[in-house]
Amino acid sequence: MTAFDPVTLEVVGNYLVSTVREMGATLMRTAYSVVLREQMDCTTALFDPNGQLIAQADHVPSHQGTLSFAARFVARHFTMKPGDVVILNHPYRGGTHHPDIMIFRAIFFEDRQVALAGALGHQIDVGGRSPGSVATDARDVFEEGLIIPPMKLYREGELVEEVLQMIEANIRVPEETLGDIRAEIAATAVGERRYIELCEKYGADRLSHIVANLLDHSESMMRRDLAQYPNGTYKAVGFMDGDGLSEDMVRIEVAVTLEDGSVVIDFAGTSPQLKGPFNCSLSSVQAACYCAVRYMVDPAILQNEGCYRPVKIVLPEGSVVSPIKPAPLSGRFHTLERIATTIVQAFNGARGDDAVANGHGHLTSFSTSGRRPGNGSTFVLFEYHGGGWGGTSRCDGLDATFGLMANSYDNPVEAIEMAYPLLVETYEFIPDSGGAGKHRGGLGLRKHIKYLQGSGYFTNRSDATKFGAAGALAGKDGLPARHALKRRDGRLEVLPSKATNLTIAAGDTMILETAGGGGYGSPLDRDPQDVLRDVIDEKVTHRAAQEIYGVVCDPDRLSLDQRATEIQRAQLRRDRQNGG
Amino acid sequence: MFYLGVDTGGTFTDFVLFDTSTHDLTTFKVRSIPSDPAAAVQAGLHRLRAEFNVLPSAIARLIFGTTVATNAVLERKGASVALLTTRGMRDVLEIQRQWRRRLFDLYLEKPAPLATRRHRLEVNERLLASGEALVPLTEEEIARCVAAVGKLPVESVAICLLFSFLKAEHERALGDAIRAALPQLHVTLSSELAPEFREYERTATTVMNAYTAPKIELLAKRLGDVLHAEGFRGAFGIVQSNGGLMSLDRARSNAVRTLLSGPAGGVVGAAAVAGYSGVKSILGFDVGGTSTDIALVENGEVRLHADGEIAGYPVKVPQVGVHTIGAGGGSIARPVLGMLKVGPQSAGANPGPACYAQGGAEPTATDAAVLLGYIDPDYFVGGEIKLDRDAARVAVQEKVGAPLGLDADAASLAIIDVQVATIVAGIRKVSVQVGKDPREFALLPFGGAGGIYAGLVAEEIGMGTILLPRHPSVLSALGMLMTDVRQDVVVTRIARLDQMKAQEIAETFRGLKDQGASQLAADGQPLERLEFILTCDMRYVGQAYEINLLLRDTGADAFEPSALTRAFHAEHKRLYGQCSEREPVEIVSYRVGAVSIVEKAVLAPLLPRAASAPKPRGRRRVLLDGKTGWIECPVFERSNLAPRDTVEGPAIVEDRGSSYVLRIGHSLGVDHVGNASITLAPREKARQWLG
Repeated sequence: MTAFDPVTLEVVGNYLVSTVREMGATLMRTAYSVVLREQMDCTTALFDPNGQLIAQADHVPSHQGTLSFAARFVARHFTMKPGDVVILNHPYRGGTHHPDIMIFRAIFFEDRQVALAGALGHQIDVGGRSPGSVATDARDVFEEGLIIPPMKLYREGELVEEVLQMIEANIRVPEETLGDIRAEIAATAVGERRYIELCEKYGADRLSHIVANLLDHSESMMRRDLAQYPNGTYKAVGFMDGDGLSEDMVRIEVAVTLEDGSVVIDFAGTSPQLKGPFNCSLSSVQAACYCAVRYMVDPAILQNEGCYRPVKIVLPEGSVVSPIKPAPLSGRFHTLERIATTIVQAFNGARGDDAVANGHGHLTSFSTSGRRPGNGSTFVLFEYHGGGWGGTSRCDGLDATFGLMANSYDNPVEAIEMAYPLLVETYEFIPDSGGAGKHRGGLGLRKHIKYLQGSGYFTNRSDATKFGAAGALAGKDGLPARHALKRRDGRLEVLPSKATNLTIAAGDTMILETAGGGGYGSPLDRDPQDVLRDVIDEKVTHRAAQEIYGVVCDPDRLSLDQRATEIQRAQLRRDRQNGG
Repeated sequence: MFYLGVDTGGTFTDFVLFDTSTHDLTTFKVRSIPSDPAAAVQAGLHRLRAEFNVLPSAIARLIFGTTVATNAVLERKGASVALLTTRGMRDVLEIQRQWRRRLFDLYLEKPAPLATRRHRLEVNERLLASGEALVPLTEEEIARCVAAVGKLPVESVAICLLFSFLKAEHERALGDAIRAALPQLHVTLSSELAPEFREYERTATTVMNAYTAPKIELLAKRLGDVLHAEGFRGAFGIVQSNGGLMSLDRARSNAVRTLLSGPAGGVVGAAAVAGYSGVKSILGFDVGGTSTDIALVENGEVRLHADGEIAGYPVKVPQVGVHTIGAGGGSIARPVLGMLKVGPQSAGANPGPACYAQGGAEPTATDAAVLLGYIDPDYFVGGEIKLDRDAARVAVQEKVGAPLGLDADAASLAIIDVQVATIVAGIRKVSVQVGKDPREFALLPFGGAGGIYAGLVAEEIGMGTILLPRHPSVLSALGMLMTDVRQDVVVTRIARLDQMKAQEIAETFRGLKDQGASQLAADGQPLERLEFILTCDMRYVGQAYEINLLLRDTGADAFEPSALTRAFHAEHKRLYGQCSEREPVEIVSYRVGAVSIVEKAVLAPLLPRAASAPKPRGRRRVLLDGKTGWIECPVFERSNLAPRDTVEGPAIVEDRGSSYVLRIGHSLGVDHVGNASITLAPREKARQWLG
């Protein structure tokens, strides 16, 4: 095969990226549900006819690898004709979890298939026993919602109406879900148009060679960066609070073996598959692994199948990461965040001084439902939140930002209150929630939402209430998450991180506090000026500054007592050496 | 009598003088003085007097484009700001909706909030979504806030309370009290500046205004002094991001509306100039030193949007749709991960490209253009800057050629190709990503270097026509003389159309029109020639993003909900290829642009030349692609081309400020106002030059 010059690769790579972005823009702008648009919980991509990823829009990290898993499944199991479109969400046949409905369109040029265009959108509801299809106490995959096995939604350009009718009859908000499916179809049509234009320009054969080169190129860049780490096997263990049915901690164990630019991630030692819905489909586990490895290399490497080739994954069958049907898995995202965090933690063994403290490592997600005043129509609000990131050798962790596997927008307070009978009383950082360190962990956030009218339900699926994000290299752990309902009469009910369909009524307040990130390095090595700045900004309390950072300051006068700080730090060093 | 347009750039300040009696245009450039933009204006006025015998007193209108606010943001040199916000919402500004700009980066840092946490105060008050006060704002609370602000070391105060876009009373009461007690502070109210829903974006915009206002204040004072001292007594205007003008006085309290001042002038100029040539739909691109601004104009309309951003901060005021990419003449070329990257790092104006010989050693796009013969090293800015071709060769050869195994020629072509790919991606973003087919537009290059890329960009996209304006390098300054005074007002009132009456909609618009007109009047504008541009932001009920719909018809039935609903479906289909006619539609925000029509510069027809064909100024060798190799082609001076002249590529057309590369198969014809229309031969099925 001809090797193409760096300029052609750059030019075609550029065009492909702008094409998948155009697909993504089409999807987001035409979608209906809040989840899909404001949270950007969707992705678009192009694949070669074998389902190898050519380019993907970088909306949400967790979609890395998920669409390509399904694309390979479609490529293997379907004979595609021009105008064919496949739809699926089956978590054991290419899908991730029920709400992620995927669409694949075959792209033909000069009578042969040259590519597949794919789109994935997180649907607001796909049926099942709980609104939003995220029952935290689901016992099997059937309780979680409608399962759509891979099937043709269009045959040679003709819509198979029955498929949509079947979906429509099984879901709660058909106009939104069908609208979002239409948006996904429109996005793949855009991909088709652009890829054909590219074929016209370069010729289909030549283009497929250029694309193969791009994949090889990303692979070699990945291998080059990974080879910088010393060979060896590095282990880490992470825990989740429970599986929604029991409060037994869930263990995620990884052994990362690095060898001359290739990676093997082995999950031996991970908990057996769960009764509750926090198991992970195969495509999801791959996403978490690919994503974690992407954090270990240059972020500028072009995202395509080549990025995945150096990564091998070993999964113990019947475990959380390789469950057997019909194990429930709609809550897999929370597990993914923990998996990615644990892999990054394992890499710390190979990173020396560039170790990274753990981030909050979870997604705070909850929903609340009820009836609107006036017409009495049902409402369901979904909320997603991040927390603090881990401190690094170069900088503090980000405050209140979505985790390693997520990236989206919060719901504006004004949007929530205009649409739902709810009142957001507080939306703010939690002081001292970031683990102390030379570079401190990012802060978690606190949101209080008051239920104003009638009664309804509250469902929480979050994590990280039992332990804080681990610090690195003598950095302190971050503050764990916390969830509670403050009842109208003032009673505080502290909740586990997973709770389904609790009754909530007017006057009750939902309290959510997300976890902070871990700190990097000893807090006694933090620049006292940075500590002073945090104290003045009330991100770190005066007391923590003195007791943990050893910094003596007067926040009212904005001044630092240099001498007292030196003495305090020397004392704390002695105490800590003596095991204090 | 004269009109003068002045556009401040990073390196040069451009001047365009229009003579209202002869319709002559005079253009020149003066070196910018970044620390004191008014000094360059003064220098320009002196040059007008000395070289062109035009006294400041003869200038009836002076329009100014400024980057003062923009630079304050980019360089983080704005004012120290206090923010007053609703209790519980102190961190909305810093949480930034929890989103991050880049994936897979553990070392990411977000843009620091422009009001630090210590300067963000919570006010004990609360409005509900109905507009009712859950917690009324008391006199005691106001007094407490005023006292607290008084203790802070700040120059400027931003006030943004929840739901103030519905009821502004709380913000106004606080603002009035602070203005009265602390007159030295600049005060910005979100309900005055950007009364739209979504508290983060509104807060960020309000804070951005507070952050930049003192800089504009300073500029206004300094400019006022300079102009007065020079004897200028005419009308003075500043270009806003929406492409319209506002008075200096208005700019003092609306600094955030100047963030896109220069680019907006360019878009307005591009649209107006193209109109003279009968071209209604254009894709303009302005290649500057560090970046390229791309804008789409359809059917002669400069459409505005209100979701811009700068340096990672959202800015919710109407602005021309300009998409900026990090590819300019000074963009640095280097191999990264085995691919050739150009930009976004830039050598800027200082040290500048290697060929400037000011100490820059990095190869840039300008260096490549010099090596390929596109730029005459002895005629750059009319010869004011001598370029060093050998320095360019060394930089390109060592930093790009050697690592990639290319000679200097191939490396230079590669740099141009990558720039073209970046510009093409930018053009796709403003066209195909919003449902427009770029092939239905003419490409309009401007700025000094637009002409170097235009031919390749058009070929790449398959565009058939390029329109090269007569004064490409000063188009922004010219555009400033071709626009009107404009005031944008907005109100958010979310309601389903099927539950509304035409009269309610009409009344909302009438209120906005009155508000816009009275603001223009307060700004000293005559109200005889007023026009209103009505748009509304609409969406399907449940959608979270809106489409801005222009109401073309403002007659009696225009506000019928059914008509608006139909128009929305049609617009949705036009933009996204689909719509759902069964779904209910709601209006989110109403917008009115109140425009006071002013006298403008015009492009006068030029006389055709008596003699037959245009004579080249000389010939020079250029390398257009790897296939044809070095060829010698004629070089034409732009000002020597007259109406009806034609030139066949290959050729170079240049003037003091710009260079245009006319490629093989492209033919150029000059029209009656001196604009050049370039026609491309129909696109080949498969491109050859890449292989």
